[in-house]
Amino acid sequence: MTLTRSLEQVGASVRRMIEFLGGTATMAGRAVVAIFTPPWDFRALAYQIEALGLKSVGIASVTALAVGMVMGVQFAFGLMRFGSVMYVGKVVSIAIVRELGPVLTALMVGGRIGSGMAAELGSMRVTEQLDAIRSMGADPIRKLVAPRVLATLIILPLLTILADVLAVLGSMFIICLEHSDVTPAFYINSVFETIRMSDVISGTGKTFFFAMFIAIIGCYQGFSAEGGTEGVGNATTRTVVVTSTSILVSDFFLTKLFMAF
Amino acid sequence: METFIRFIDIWKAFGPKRIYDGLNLDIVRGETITIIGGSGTGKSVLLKLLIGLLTPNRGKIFFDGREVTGSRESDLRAVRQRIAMLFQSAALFDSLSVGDNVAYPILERDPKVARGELKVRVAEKLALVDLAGSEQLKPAELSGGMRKRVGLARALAMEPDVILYDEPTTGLDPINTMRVNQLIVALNEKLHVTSIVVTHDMESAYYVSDRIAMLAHRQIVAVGTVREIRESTNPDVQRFIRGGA
Repeated sequence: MTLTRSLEQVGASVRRMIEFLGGTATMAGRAVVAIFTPPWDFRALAYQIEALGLKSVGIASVTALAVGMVMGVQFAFGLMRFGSVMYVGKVVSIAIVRELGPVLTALMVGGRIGSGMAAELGSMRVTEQLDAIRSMGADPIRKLVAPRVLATLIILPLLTILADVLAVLGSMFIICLEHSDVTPAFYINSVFETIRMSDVISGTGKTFFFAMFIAIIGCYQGFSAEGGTEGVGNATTRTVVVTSTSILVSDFFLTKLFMAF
Repeated sequence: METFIRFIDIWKAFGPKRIYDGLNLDIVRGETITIIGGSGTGKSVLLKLLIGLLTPNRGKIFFDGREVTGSRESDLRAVRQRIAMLFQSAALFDSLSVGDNVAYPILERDPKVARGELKVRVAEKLALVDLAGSEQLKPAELSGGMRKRVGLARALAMEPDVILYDEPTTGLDPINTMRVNQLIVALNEKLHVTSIVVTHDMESAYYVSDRIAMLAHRQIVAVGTVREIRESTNPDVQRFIRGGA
């Protein structure tokens, strides 16, 4: 009896997982087709870039500055043991540009905009607004999902570049303040000597994948919300959990992938 | 009398919950037919099946001689542009003003419509539901009755052949209920559309209907004119219209 119940639960979990993977893959495919085929709704795209992008500048900037300063302090503390404080700029910048900038920006911005998408679209779903769009002969994927996916694909790489710059400046500020032998000019110079275009491409390239995960998971969870306000709340929570996990797990594979090129 | 919409041997279930076991119903062009039945009997499901928001497990649905069941989403869009639906909650888009809500289906059908013409058409539809001049209001500023009427104006903006009303008077006070009922009748006379009304409000059903169909035991158990339904000997019909247990 217990074994049967356990098997049923495993079966249900596997079914839900397959439904989720199939549903998100189908939605992603349809969204990409809608992005590349007319008619295009530039007004909706501009609105989403403002709502998702401009309003995320604050959170991305504060996170980047704080992480940059902490990294500066920690690496200076560690490297001081080997008398190598002058290498802080090199180590911090490569860690930020290749890894921390993209991942932390995706996690912070993704949490904000992914949950926002799930909540907004989930509310539309439970109040029959998505059905209303379909009933008027319109395609909710083209109307609602495509502008959000495209806007996220545009803004996340840009926010990541901004975060990279601010994090490096944050670490520079704290190092130059605490160690008089490291000047801003020396610091900046060591950063430019270290960072190669391949580092920027590897770091920023990953954000296109993260953007796709954030937008598709947020929209899918919103479209699947059921059961009134409680369902919307669950969809929002699931979005944050699934998006964060997807970013962190995929980061390893994407890092290996970009290293291969 | 020409059959405009046909439901043939419709079976529908949500998981273990069976909704229809071989439901049949014919709807004539230009009539107002009301579907009555208890809560949870699947009245609204019938409307959603017609426009392809849901699909039956078995059976066929025909609209104007064309089979709807099994159609692709792209083919359904053509059907949906001829059928407008007033949702139970009105389903207005919260982020858009009243005017933009009503303009939505017009722009969907003709994205290049001139701004002036669009404005005129929106004003015309709002006037039809006694809400002239409310273009700038947001849905959050509207009362329940006003929301339903804006929903109706948006449905009319599609210039449909068929209007589906899902519980149009639920949650409204008696004055607004009568107002919506009068609108349904007046629009039918003026625009000669086919109307399918889903309700459990018998006063409304008597007021707006040419025919009434009773849904019970997962099937249509009785169909007839208002008089025929009032005088029906079917125990399900009598129990429902008299409010008995």
